[in-house]
Formats: sequence, C-alpha cells, structure tokens
Amino acid sequence: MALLVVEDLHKRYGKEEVLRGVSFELERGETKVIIGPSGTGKSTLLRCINRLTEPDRGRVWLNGVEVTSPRTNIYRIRAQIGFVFQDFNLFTHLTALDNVRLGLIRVKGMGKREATERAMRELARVGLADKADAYPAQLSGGQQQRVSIARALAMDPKLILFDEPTSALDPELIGEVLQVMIELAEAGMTMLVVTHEMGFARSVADEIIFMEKGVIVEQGPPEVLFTNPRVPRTAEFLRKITEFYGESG
Amino acid sequence: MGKRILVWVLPLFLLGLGAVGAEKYIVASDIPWAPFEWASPEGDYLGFDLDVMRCIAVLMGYEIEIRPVAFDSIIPAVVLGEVDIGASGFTITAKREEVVDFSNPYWLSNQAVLVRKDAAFKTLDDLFCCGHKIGAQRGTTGADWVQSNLVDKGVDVQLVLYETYPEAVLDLVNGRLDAVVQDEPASQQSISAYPELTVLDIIETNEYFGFLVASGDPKGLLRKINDGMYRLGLRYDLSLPAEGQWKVKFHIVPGSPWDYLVQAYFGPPLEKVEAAWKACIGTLYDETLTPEERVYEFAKCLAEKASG
Amino acid sequence: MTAVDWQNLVQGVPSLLSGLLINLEILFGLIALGFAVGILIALVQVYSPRPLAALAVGYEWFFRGVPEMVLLMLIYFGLRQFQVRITPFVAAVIALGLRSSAYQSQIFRGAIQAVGRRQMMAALSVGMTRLQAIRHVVLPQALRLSIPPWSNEFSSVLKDTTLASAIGVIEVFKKARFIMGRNYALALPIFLVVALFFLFLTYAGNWALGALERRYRIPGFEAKGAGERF
Repeated sequence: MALLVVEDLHKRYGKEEVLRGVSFELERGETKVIIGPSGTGKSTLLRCINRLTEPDRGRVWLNGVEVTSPRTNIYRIRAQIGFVFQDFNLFTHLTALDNVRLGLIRVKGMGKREATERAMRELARVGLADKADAYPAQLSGGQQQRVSIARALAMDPKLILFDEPTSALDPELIGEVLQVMIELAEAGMTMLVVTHEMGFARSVADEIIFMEKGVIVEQGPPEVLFTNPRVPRTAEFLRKITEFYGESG
Repeated sequence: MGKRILVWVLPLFLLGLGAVGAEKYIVASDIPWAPFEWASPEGDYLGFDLDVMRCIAVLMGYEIEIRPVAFDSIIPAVVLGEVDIGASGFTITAKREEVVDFSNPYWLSNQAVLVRKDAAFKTLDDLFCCGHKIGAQRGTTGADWVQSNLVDKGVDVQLVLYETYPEAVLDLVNGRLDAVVQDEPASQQSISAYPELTVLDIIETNEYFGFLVASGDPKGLLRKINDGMYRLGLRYDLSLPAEGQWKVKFHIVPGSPWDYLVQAYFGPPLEKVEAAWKACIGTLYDETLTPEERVYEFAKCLAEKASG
Repeated sequence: MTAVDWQNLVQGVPSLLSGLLINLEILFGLIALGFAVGILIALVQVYSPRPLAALAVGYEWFFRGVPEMVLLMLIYFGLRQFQVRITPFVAAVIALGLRSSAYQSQIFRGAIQAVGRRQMMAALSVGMTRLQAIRHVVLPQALRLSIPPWSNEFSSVLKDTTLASAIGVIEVFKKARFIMGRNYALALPIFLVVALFFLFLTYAGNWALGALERRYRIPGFEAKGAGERF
C-alpha cells in the first residue's frame, strides 16, 4: 500500500461543500504539489489528512493504518505527520530551541538532553543553529518558517504537509525556505505541498495535482502538465499563475 | 492560614467527639458598649459584662471565648446554637423571653436622654416635639421606647436608628441629632468623653439586665451563671408580681468581688480601667490560687488600681 | 485632637495591623480559590461541548450578578442550613473567592481566546493532546496576557475583604470600629489610617504584579507589536 492514501474526502462548511470527493495516493519518498485557485479546499484537504479538521466523509490511510477510524489513536498519527502552516504558528512564548524540543519532550517522552541534541541538529539542518535562543518575535518571517520546518522534522515524521509555506513571506525571504524544502525533497522526505511557487513545483515535484472547486481536475508529472495538459482549464490556470507569480525557485 | 484552620477544625473535632476535657462556651457580646464591653487600644476585650463572665467561668470551672457579634445578631445566634451565652447589657423583656432564657437580673438601668448642653431644652416636653431627631441603637430598649411611646403615639419626633451607640453620640455631638436615648451607664461614659453633653432627664423604665442562653437552657448554663453571681456577692430582694414589671432590689455584699467590679467599671475613666485591667488580669488565671482567691484578688486589684 | 487622642491612635495601630493580617489571609484564600476555579470555568467555556459550556456561562452570570454582601450571607447561612458548620472566615473566603472566580474566568477566557486557535492547532499538529496543548502552549501564553486585567481584579478584591466584617470576621474594619467606639474623637483619624494601609497594599501589590509581568514578558513582542501573530 502507498504511504498515504486519501479516498473520497468530503467536507462541508455550512452550505458550502469545500471538498467534493478527493482521492489520491502518495508513495514513500514522493513529493506532490497541489495547485489551484484560492478557496478550492486545498488547505482543508491538508487539515483533513491529520484530522485537524474532521472530514464529513471519506477515508485516509497512513502507512496502512486508517487515520479516519474512530478507534485510531489520532495523537500518535499526528506525531508521524509533520505540518507546516502558512503563518508559521510557532509557540510565541518559547525560544526556537524550545519550539523544536517541545514535541520531543512532551509527546515522545524524550529526556531533556537527548531532545536538545536532536533539536539542535534539526535547527542546524535548516541553517538556524545560531538562533536557538531567539524568540519567534525576534526572528524574520523566513527564519520563523524554517524553525517551524525544524519543529516538524524533529518528530521524525513519515510525511510532511506544507500549507502554502511561503505565501505569508516577503519575496526576499521566500528563497531560504524553498531551499530547505528542496533539500528535504532531494533527501527523500515524503512531502505534500500546497503552493503557488511554480518554479519549485516544476523542479521538485514528482507529480502536480490541480484542484478546483473541491475536486481534482487533473494530476500528472510536471512536464506533462506544464507543456501538454489534458484539461484546458489546467493550461489556463498555469498561464495565469505564471503571469502573477513568475517562475521562482 | 494554618492557625485559622486549626481554630476551625478544633471546635468541630470537639463537637464531634462530645467535648472531651474542660467545657468551653462561647460568649457573644456587642463590642463596643462601654462600660459593659469594649476593646482596649491593644485589642483586649474588657468591660463589666465580660469580666463578670470571666469570673463566673473561673469559679464554676469552665472556659469561655468572647466573640464580638453585632447586637441584633446575638439573640439569633444564641437561638441557632452558634453561641452559648449572650452578655451584652440585654434588658429582660417579655418579647425576648419568648425566644431565649434569662439569668437572674444583674443590673438596673433606666434610659437616659442625652442632649447637648447648648441646646437649651429644659424638660423632656421641650424635646418631644417639633420634628426633633432622636437617635438610638437599633434593637435596643431605648429605640423601642421611643418608637412605642412617641412615634407610634403620633408625637412629632423622628427616630433615627444606628448600628452602634457611639455613632449616635457622634451625630449628637455634630448637631445631626437633637438627642440620644440610651441606657444610663453608657450615657455616663459618653458624658465623660464629651463634656459638651449632658443628661436632660431619666426615663424610668426599670430595666433589668440579664445574661441570656437558648430557650430551655440546653447546656445547663443558667444555674452556673446564677450560682456564680451569688458567689461573687450579688444578692436580691425579689418580689415577683403576677405579671408586668419585676420589682428587684439589689444587695451587694461589701468587699465582695462584685462590689469591686462595680467600683472599677462605674466611675473611673476608661484609660485607668484599661491600665488596671492589664496589670491585674494575670491574677485571675493564677493557678496557684483557688478559684475564689483568683476572682477576689482580681476584682480587688482592678478596683484599687482603677480608682487610685 | 488632644495628646491623649494621639496616644490612643498610636496604641491602636498594632491592633489594626493584626486585623489587617486577617484581611490578607482572606485575600490569599479567596484569590487562590478564584484562580483555580476561574481557570477551570474559562477552560470549560472555551473547550467543552455546548451543554457544559452553558453551565459555565450560568455560573459566571450568577456570581457576577449577586452583590457581595448578599453572597456572603447566602454562603454563611446557607451552609449552616445544611449542617455544615463553618466559621465566618471560611464563609468569607468561599463567598468572595467564588465571586472572584467568575471575574477571573472572564479574564482568562479573554486571554485564551486572544492566544488563538492557531496555537492550539500547531500544538495538535505535533501530536499533543488537547490537555497537553492547553498546559504547555495555551495557558502559558494566556496567563501572561492575563496579568494586567488580573491586577485590576486583585486591587478590587483586596478592598472587598473588609466586607467580611458583615458576617462577623474581626478584620481591620471591625478593629477600627472598636477603636472608634472607645474614643469617639478617633472616628475620622482611624479610618484615614485604614485607608492609608489599603493604599499601600494596593500599590505594593500592583508593583509586584508589574515585576511579574516584566519577568515573564516574551522578548521581541513589544518591539513588533502584534506583528507576527496573525
């Protein structure tokens, strides 16, 4: 079975049905990028995968375990899925080091020394070992997002979900975050990324999923989608997006 | 906070086990009401009522705890069993007898009408008219007297009630009242504190003070109190009519503790009494003496030092 | 005031101070009770399912709507009806403490909501349970945010401790009355002294809370304002 299996997810907010039957799979080591117009349920999809938002219908499996089953220990599942938010969501009252350490100590029950070692390693990996004692409010947006990636990495996740990780950043800071993500992908991390960064998608994704109005319109390898998409809508969207965001990364 | 918890837990414990050891009773008194009960600047509770209670406790072999309670909360507290004895210059009235039991009387008081010297009232009739404001402590017989004999009879006066007597006196001094009606002894105290006041007249109400306990005397305290007063030197000529007023004449045995206590508390200024009390109170609890000796020496010491 | 009056005034100060100690004891008791219950009620209101949260709202509404004096009487006489013999002191701590808990729960609820759902989400995303998230992420931030409004509550309940005299607790106000009752000339001066005591305590308390706030301030926060927290 694939590492992540998503089957027929539905989610409704009030009158609006935001996810209308989304299904796909993700193999170990793959990086898939989800693109599409705003408000088409991409973020909701990610949050349904680790049940930060509860789907109305549909099922999700992680490594063979059914995430959506009521009998599953959802906390254990979440500890295996890293999540990087659009607005970083670092714990503001803790230093960068503490932010990365907290999960190790409280969720994994690691001892303080071991947790600190591990946390420092992850901070070094994202290039911020020297900022270990800084508080989030003292860091730039790009730095905060990198810490948040370190926080996700520290938990040794099987899969990392990225919810528009660079959308809240100033342009000059986007690069450092994308760089970290590229390195992760090349190192073999399984990643599911929602983003507008087409350059990144093109160069790193194994597959691109184009979503609109709560359904997957088309999915396929980047070369195919960019040069010869099946659905005209896809081409239209890609053109628009490249206009607005350019090709960075 | 530990002491608080202890103070709370201990009585509960005793209550629960049925009071092992020396019995302890709670005496409720509306402090201050000099010279029957008040607090010295250092915070000691002294006064005629209180020291009589202390002396009787020593004589009869029990302990007491003096608890300040607002005057009109004392009888409810006694009825509910929260306190055991009410000692606060209570006038014995038929109405009160319906809910509590009184000891033998221990003091005769009339109501004094206090006014300012410069107010130029000549008689009570000058005062009891013209919308004059008369103050009294809430729940006292003085207040009742004004209510039933003046206000209810349509006399043109205004009755102003106060929670404590000193507040009423203060208003009298400040000109907000024309007169204050209060038991005689307390009025005497006010005059020594405020020379600009004087007693306009005495209203003979023949009020007798008594100590009170819950109806039916569940703890058998009245007998102890009455015995105690007798042993302290208080005697009576009692004539009980079929109904209405008691006619009692007090005889105090000269040189008895009761005699000395009266000397100490009804005459000397408060400061001297307080100084005397501080010097003499140790004698009352001197375990090398017999109870009779302790009480006698204490009272004598008090009288001598207060008058000296 | 004569020389004797001054003497009496000075003599009365130790008695007042011992009374003030009682006020402080009541204060610490009631604040601790108010804090513990307040946090509980706030958490229930924010995180519990509707029916339970509604109970919490009802609780708040009751204890904020009934005047303190009435509350004191209700607790003191009410408990006695049920054969629970408590001293006036304990009744005062309970009544004033529960009332404070209603106000404190408001403070904490506001602070928890100001911390925001996103902090909770981030905590859940690394695998924490709600309880862990509340304990390690939400509350530490919420408590810091609570300090300024909480110091208001502190000043308020400090003054409320004098109400305990209404059910017979011998605290500073009652002691002042004793002193006044013995020498009527001291009526005004003695209450001025009491007022001074309370002013001093309020000032000291606020200073201490200010120091607490500074000690636990999150670095970089004020410089950026609410900058990165959206």
